[in-house]
Amino acid sequence: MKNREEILGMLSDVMVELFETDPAEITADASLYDDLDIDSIDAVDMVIRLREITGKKVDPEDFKSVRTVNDVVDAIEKMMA
Amino acid sequence: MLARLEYIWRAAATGIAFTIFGLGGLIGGLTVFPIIAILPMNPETRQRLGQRVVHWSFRFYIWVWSRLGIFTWEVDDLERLRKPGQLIIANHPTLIDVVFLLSFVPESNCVVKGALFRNPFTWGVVSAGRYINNSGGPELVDACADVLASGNSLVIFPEGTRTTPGVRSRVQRGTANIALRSGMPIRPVRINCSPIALNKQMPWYNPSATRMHFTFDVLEPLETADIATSDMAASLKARELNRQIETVLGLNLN
Repeated sequence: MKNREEILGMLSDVMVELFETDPAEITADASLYDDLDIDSIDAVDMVIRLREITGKKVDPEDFKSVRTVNDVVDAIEKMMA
Repeated sequence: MLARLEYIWRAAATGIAFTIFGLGGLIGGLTVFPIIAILPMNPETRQRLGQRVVHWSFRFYIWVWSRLGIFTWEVDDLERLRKPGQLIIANHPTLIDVVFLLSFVPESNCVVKGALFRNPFTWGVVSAGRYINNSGGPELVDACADVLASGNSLVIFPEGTRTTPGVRSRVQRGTANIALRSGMPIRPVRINCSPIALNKQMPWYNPSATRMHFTFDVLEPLETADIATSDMAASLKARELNRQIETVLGLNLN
């Protein structure tokens, strides 16, 4: 069971790996689309990768309304619970 | 004095041009489209027929509009656009770019703004061609890949909206993803309009000081095989191809 900081660290690594995101830009309030240039097609790849890492089933519905990094951390937390 | 008169005429002529287009779309939506819809034929034939009708009507509009004197235009290598099943991309300087492109390609699908499906002047056109709504990410890529797989050409503006001079274009990666998914090379068309008009800053009643001249450069295909077969992550392939699309269309040069 991971805490939010660990989740954020894991998420950061995924974003850098998949999207070449600058780690410095990955803040809790960062908007996926406007700040980090992560679009809906990228989001699908991200969810697949998260599923691989956590081994948990992902409900795509949880990620539908995700807009910020914080939202993703929330969704992952929910996944792990 | 003469220049002033010519300017006023061109503003009026542009208004007439759009009226013709709007009325054509409205009347076509009420007559031609329903006729096509009820003719006994399979769905794919019906869609291709609709696209041909749009093609012919757009050829007519370009002809009328240039007779009205609102622009001159030239294009070379048109036969490059006539090969079927191509992913045709272009930069997007003006409102009427798509009218030109679809007037060049006899049978093509097109990715269009969702709003056009709700506009009574354009509903007939986008429905006849069964054009694709640009909202939606993964679904858009699937739909476009299917279109190309069936041998239908597809016209798409990677910027997703008209270029604003001096403002960086955000080139959407949908086009790159479609190209990678379908495995088709990309056929780029570079559109130049000088002097510029009919963009977001210049509505139809404010024409350019002199008549617009359009040029269309139909370029060599942009191959995607190297990127597609590399071992990069899919998201990185799309980013790399997107950069090449930006370059080939001459976008964001600074």
